[in-house]
Amino acid sequence: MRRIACIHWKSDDCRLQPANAEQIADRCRRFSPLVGREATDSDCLLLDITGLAHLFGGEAALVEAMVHELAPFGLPVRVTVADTVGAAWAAAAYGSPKSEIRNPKPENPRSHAEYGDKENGSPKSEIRNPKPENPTEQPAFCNSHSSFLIVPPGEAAPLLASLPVEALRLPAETVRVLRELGLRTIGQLESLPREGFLSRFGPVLLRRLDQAFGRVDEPVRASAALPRFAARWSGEYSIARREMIEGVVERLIGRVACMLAQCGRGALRLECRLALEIHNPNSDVRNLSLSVGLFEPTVSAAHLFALVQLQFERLRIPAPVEQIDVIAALTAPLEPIRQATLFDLGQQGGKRHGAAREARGPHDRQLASLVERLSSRLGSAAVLGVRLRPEAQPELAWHYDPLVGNRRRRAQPRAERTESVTLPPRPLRLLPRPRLLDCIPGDSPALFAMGGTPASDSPPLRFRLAGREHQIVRHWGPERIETGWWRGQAVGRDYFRVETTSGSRYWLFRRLRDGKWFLHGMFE
Amino acid sequence: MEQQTICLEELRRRVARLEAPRHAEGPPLATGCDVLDRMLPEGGFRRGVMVEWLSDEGTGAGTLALLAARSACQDGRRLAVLDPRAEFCPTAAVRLGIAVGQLLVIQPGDAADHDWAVDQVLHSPAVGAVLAWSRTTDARTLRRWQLAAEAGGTLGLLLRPIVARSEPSWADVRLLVEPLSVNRHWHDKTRPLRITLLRCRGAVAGRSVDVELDDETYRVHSLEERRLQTATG
Repeated sequence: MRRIACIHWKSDDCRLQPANAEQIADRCRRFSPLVGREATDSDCLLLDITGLAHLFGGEAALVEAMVHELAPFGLPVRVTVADTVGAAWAAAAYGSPKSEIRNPKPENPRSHAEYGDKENGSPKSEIRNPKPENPTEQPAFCNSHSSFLIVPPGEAAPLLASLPVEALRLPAETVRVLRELGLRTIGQLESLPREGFLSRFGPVLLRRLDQAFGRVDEPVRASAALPRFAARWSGEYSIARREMIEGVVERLIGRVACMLAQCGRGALRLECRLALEIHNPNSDVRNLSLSVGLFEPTVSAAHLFALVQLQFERLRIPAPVEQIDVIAALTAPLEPIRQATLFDLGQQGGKRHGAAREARGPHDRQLASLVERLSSRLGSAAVLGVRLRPEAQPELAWHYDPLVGNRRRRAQPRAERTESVTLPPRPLRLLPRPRLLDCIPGDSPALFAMGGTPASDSPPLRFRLAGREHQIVRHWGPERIETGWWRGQAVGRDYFRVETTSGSRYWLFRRLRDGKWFLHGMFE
Repeated sequence: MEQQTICLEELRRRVARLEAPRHAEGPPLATGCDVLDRMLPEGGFRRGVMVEWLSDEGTGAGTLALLAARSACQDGRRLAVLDPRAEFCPTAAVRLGIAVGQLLVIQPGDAADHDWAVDQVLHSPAVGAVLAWSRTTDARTLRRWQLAAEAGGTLGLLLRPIVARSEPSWADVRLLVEPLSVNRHWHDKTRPLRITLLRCRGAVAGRSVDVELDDETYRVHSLEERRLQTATG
């Protein structure tokens, strides 16, 4: 039998501002490895606690621990435990404490349902909520209280039967029609024949009913855990002044750097996300984000902030900012360092960062600093290292790797040296896409016959390039390249090095498939 | 009259001091071309200078610049290549003898980023040489680069079209590379070039050397010496 816990809160409570679902989910991961969100309700969390309750001393103790864990957020929550996701959510969102109380003492595990209230962290067995007149409209818990409800295994059906149809997580239109038909509770729905539901309401109503009663399995969809090294600012009032925003970002970076330093890790990629005020008539932009890549892991808050600032200078912030996240999205262990003194870690790990860099060559340190600066302004895709590939096709004979935020680069030995003699001669400038040559008819085969190449395979005598006419006076080749068939893009080319009357040397090829000529490079 | 003579003498001394090569740190860097080394007052390029290569497309100036870059990066420093058009072929540089791990390729998106990136790499002592195809004609930017190269001790190698010859420049050394038309055997793969020194502190402007460059072995020989060898041999 599965056991699902649902934690429900009210998002319109002003005390909830500093908190959010992700943070609550993060806190709750100590109770269950499977913590998820309900797609139809952003104000709740679902935890699969099957087989876990005994680790905490029973379900009642587990629920109490959850309420304790969330007490620092200062928001009243309602925690329910039931056999299914549907039942747990329904009980949390719509369950009323008026009728189901059989035994308020959580010690008795066989009670039909266990209730409790919690005020200021102290459990109480009495019910604080007044008896609601209409259970469908009355909130399930009072603002000033946290409460819980444990539905024993196999006993969810009576509770569900008394709940309103809204507790089935149905579309508003379906609920409206059901109410017009006089169907107000789930129990009324259950008593009717199922056949008519499908044609009248589609599959959703039956699915929700079956999910609630456990006839159809509904797993908890795990939500991604918050990055481990992240800090958030979320203000009651938005901030518009750039200096203030930068100040907050600097403080958050300091916090993230502290977290990293404590774990002996450094940031390889740092992301900074700004959530803009939603109700701003001047802008449609809702989010802005910056990403800073690093050449080597660092925990220096000052260095990270300097890199972020490089991008900040070029960032237009069209609306006030109401939330800022700083996340170390990619981290790596810091290089081992030789600690000079016992307390040389320094505030925010700045000295440690410096020591790690000093431990290596001065050029490495300067190079790291240069690459990070360049990448911050130009983007990581613009600052590249080279890896040669054993590929015959000239334009595919190397690969560029971004130098920052790259774990792979770190794993590779730096002394990667290729024997230059094994490489074929290539022009210094190679066009990324070969350019179709505008050949001028009237070739002179006699000239090329001198080179020992059949005249029909020789390069054209004249071609036009950038509005200028070039006449070829010498050529060497061909170098035949036939490759790429295994990629499904067979390439067959005859390359010629040619010299024009002006003394310029070009690299041309004839496509074997159709005999067309292309310019591919310049021997600068 | 006497005062005028003293004044002129003083001015002459000042001009001579300005013309003299600045104090060089470490030995000069070989250009990869012996005859060009001999033409330069210090026997090569110094670190921290900007060298401008003026040439037409495909005439070998890039290879000559890379030969100088190879010397500058022999101590393990990086070669930064500014490649906004993504046309640089690393295979050619590696074949020329620059370790693949030493290459730092930068592909800036626009002219402002390009100029800023050149300034940054020139400033960095971790970079031995910078190779850039200059698009700018702004003398102030060139001056900034020259100062950056001096501060970083980096050899700046700037490839510019011949049309930029008449434009103002702050480069310490300006070289003009032109192909020579000489009679050669049809299978001779070398290319004859004339390298003219347009400007260099402490050297006479306008001097030139004729060389032949082998695109496959990257060897540069003096054309005069080759002729003499052929004549005596």
